[in-house]
Amino acid sequence: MNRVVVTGLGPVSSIGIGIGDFGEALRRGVSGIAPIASFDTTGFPHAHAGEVKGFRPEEHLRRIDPRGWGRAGQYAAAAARLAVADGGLDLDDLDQADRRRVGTVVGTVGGEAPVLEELVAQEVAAGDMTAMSPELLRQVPTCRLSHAVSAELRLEGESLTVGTACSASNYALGYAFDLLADGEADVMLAGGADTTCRWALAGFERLGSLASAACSPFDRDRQGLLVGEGGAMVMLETLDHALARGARPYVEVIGYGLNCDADHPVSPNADRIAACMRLSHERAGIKADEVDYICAHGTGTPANDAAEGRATREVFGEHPPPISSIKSMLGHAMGAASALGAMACTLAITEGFLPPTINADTLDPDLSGLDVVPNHARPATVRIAQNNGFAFGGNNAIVIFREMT
Amino acid sequence: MRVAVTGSGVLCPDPVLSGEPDLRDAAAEVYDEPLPSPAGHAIAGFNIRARLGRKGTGFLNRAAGLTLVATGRAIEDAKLTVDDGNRARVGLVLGTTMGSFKSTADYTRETLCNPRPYLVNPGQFPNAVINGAASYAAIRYGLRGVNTTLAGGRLGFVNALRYAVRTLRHGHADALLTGAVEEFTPDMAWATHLVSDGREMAGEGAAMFVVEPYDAVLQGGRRMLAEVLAAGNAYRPGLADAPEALARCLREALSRAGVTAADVAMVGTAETAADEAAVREVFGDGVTHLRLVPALGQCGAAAGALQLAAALTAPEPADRVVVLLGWTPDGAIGTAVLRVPGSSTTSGGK
Repeated sequence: MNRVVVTGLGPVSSIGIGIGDFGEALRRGVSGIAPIASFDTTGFPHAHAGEVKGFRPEEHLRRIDPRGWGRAGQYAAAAARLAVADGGLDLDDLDQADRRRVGTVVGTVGGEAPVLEELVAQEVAAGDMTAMSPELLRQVPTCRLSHAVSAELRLEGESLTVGTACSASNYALGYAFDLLADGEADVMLAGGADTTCRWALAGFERLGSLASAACSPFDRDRQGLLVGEGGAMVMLETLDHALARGARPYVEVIGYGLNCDADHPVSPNADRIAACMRLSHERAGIKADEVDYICAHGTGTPANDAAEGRATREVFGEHPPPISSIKSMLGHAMGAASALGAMACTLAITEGFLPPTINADTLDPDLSGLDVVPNHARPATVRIAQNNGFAFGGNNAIVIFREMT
Repeated sequence: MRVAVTGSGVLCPDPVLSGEPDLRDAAAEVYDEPLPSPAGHAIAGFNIRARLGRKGTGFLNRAAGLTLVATGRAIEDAKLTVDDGNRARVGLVLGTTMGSFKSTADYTRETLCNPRPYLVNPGQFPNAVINGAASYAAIRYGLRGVNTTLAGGRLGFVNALRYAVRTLRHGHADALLTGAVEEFTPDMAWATHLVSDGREMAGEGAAMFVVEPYDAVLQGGRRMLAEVLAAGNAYRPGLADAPEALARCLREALSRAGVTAADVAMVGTAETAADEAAVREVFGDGVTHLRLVPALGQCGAAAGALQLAAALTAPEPADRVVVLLGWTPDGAIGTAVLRVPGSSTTSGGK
């Protein structure tokens, strides 16, 4: 089995595009939350989100024509380009990479939601489904997210889109890890992408899950989540391949665990989440007390944070490692969320700091004992980091990262 | 690690494939909304609550309903016991195109048309997310292991099979309900019609297979329906009109599976002219085509799964090798190669 390392990071996020800006924003506890600008929010009581600002597809995309692809696919492709550039991989150099052995796995919640919204708008305006544009119908299939990456980078390996909702990019990272460990690929671009969209905003609103203008994970007075968006692609590589081309790995991926609540369609199950944590440790070959930092799923909803907090204390005991939620800054970037967490874990390890949970006022007394790194990043030695991802449908996925040894 | 298929469960408009002699295919009857003409292929009178009971089924959409029926059938067919002793190691891998185009579009439509855009039905939210069907299946059958939904379009089933094989090989699970689903709705009917300029019709169906490590099945003395010899996925743009490219992918699949073209008895493809030409080039005229489109229409992600179901139910030849090929217009291509043993044996493979 090959060792698998992270060699490139490509975030397209509400707090920054590119790992330099993203990392800096994490350190400073920057909030990417603002009133939603990408669609008309008239009539929505809660309309703040972590949207990507200033994204110009033509700045990032060299091969695919943005007019032929939806915005989620553009985010994924742009993020992949950033990751490849960050990792210094020249895909045109046959000595560096064989395209047939470079693939991509992209996780998502809503796929090409903006394209779908346009199709529905066409149908509503005409009162007739025949008004749907064939060109847009060609752009709407969810698998196009990974195809956008494959087409943009001219990859010939696996091209897979995972639809496991809010934890999808952890599933993507895990599957890519397995392929690389097996030697089925040399390099994998793994992560996720989503855009803000009307139906998700409406759905969360109707469930009573939304906060108004600030997301306060683990706080006593937390109201809920804020929707977000973005693209986040991590370049994973076998250690041998990375060393052979002279790349310097960030961190190593040492394992991951998947399970399913099989309990309730939307409410999380603390016991199953705890089981997923234990599973991820077992698969990574570590003990709980070796984890130095947990990047929480931490959506900021009463239900998630309670379940996640309870599971954390069950698994780690009275003094768990610091656990912070970058969703406090980013909002919930949906399919991209876990991959953004993976980047936070990576930087925590390589740069020795803990990203903060901002908007932290009063810790929920039911979660006492948790160090949520309130409001300010702080220096720390992080050797092993745990990246949590949970989702509607009970799709739990946790990935473990370790410093290079 | 060798991987075996031990059970199969199907629900689609074909009564033989579904094992239901009274099943009727009558797409025009299924919805009140206008449909293209001809409408396509759909199960007449598909009543989820009648089939699955009232408990926990109130919010299921059609895709979830199809998935749940097929999953239950596969579990029973495999004689797979799922209990507290093993449910953490039994999971589900489901291929789809968009989950439910209709559910997501309905949600979107309500935000555009309702005076208050957030007045959507909260109970329908899981259906609007791609993993809805897979999560409902996990709840119903108590499957707490790996649960993954893959959006693969026409590759949905091959992707699911490949993911399942890899997941078993890495020891993440001991058994996986693996399959794909596509539902017939006005949205899909019109999408299929419009994209193909009226040449194609939408269908529907779900086929789920229990996939387990070969050795464990053998040791347990359980019946094996097939062995998965290979399942691969790649990206090769320009496939739509290129029989040569498809042929090359077929040959690569055979090579990975360790079989020759002469070994192959049955092939399932997207049934386009390019597919037929590629199959002829690689296999000649002696191979059986698992043609579904004339009777079942375009079944999206479910097509590959239904083709495998058809291959498994064929009475002959014994010890046959089946090849499945799926691809998307962008250029993703997936292949799977399976060996179906003779009916007198409980294990396959040479």
